[in-house]
Amino acid sequence: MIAQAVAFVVLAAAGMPDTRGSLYLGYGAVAAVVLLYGAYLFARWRRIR
Amino acid sequence: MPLRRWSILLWSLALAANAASLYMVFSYAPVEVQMGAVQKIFYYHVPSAIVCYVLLFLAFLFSALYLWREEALYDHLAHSAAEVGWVFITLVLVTGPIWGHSAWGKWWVWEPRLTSFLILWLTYSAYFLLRLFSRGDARAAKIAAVVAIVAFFDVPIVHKAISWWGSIVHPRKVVLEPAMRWTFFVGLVAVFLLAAALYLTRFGIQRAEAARVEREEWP
Repeated sequence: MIAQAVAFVVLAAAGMPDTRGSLYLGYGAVAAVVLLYGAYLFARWRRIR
Repeated sequence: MPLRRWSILLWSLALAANAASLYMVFSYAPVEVQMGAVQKIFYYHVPSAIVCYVLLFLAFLFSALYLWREEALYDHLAHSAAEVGWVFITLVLVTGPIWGHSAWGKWWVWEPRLTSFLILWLTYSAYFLLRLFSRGDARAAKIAAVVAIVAFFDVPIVHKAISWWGSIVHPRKVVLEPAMRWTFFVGLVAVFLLAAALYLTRFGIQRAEAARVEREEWP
């Protein structure tokens, strides 16, 4: 389901007529990297508690 | 104030600043005429690059201090700074090609700025591989400190690459109109606060892990 949602967002962004698609893709990528790193830190924090 | 309270304060400030920054990027900043809306990636792309310079400098500084004083605290500070710095290098390397492909039709160009930045990412990736596959003892920490010091010398090369060798995609000077300048300034503050919150959290975790290992070794 997550993969489907991601694929939908990517396809929707890629299909936009102007450069807004790339803008959303860029900020989506920023959010994804920060969230992934946040999840990694959270997992380490849970392990030491 | 204890580390935990600083962490909560920084996370609150970072969330508020990033919400304000995103609002300004999407609702306040004007659309650039030549590149269109994609130019707005600039408001996180450039601050991420500046923040990664600062974090890598901290990794360099604390690595040098660790080699000099041999105190674990400096090693933890350096390791945390290098890791969060690497995350921000990754952010720059991810957002750059998305912007470049839309604005210039190319994902990647082998020009000095991009190439030296990729080398920076690869060098710090090697630093983490060294940390990952070593036993985590003082000898490994010393080797990692030397790698962090040597790796930092790529930062001035990245920074001066355009003025030394020129660039196909990066301008020598960027002129922003007032609304763009304000959006950039808020974006810079937001990214700095996010980096500070991540750094403090990462450092706190490493200190807690080290304390736990010490407790297990000395019951």
